[in-house]
Amino acid sequence: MRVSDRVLTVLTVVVGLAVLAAVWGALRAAPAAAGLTPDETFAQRIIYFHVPSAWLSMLAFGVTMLASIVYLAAGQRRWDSLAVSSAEIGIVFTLAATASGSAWAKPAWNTWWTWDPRLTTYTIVFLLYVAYFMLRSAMDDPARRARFAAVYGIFAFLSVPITFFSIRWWRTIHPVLIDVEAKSFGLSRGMLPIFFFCLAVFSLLYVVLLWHRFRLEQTREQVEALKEQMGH
Amino acid sequence: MIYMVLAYMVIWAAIFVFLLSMIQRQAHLQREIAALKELAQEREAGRCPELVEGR
Repeated sequence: MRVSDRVLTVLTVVVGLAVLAAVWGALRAAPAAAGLTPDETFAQRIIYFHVPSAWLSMLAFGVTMLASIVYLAAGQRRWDSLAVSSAEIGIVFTLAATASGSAWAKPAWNTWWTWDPRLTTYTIVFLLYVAYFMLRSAMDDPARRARFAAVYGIFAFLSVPITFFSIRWWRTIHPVLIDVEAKSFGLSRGMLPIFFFCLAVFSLLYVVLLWHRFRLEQTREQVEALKEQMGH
Repeated sequence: MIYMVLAYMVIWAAIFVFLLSMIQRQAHLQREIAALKELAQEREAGRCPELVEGR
């Protein structure tokens, strides 16, 4: 077993335990929100996983953008592998954040979905990255696919800051958690340690998932190279 | 409470499905590598008599 394999195994176990601790923190240790109906009080605990999921998706798309830039500059295939691996994780967590937000919206807004600026722009982000994979699957030549996907990956990322700032730029019913102007958080002091712990755990989860997914991509490339060598 | 449970289930289902898909893809790739290696060995074995004949 290589050193990197051992590190990844240890990290995977650590992140598994950390996720369990985060679940306990979010469901048991975090204080209940005051002044809400019982349904809303329970639903409010979604925030500990909903926001980190959204953060993780944006981080993943950011890494896709950076890896795409490096690919275009350096031309090394591994940066394209990193970009596609990260984009896939981003899509998964965009879905997780959207669906968990929808479950929160039902008791809070009395509807599963509304075309609020945040929800609309986030849907556009999701569709843009689905299109990223459609673009990739439409090209057989690996170099051409990587080049086109890199350019697309850079421009697609423009939708991410628009989504982040949408609740600050336009009228919205979506809560603003980080109020930059007022320099305050939309959470009480008691909730913040658990919230930041969950953010850290999800960031670590991203690193572990990306590492696994990147290895998978490299194995796929090896298979492609082997097939090419054998004239398949 | 149902909404909270639903939200957590959705997040874990997404992660679980993603992990499962990675495991399946990895297994598929391992099978492909094994098949390609086998094919390469067969080709090598088939090439040997030709080389002998060529002498």
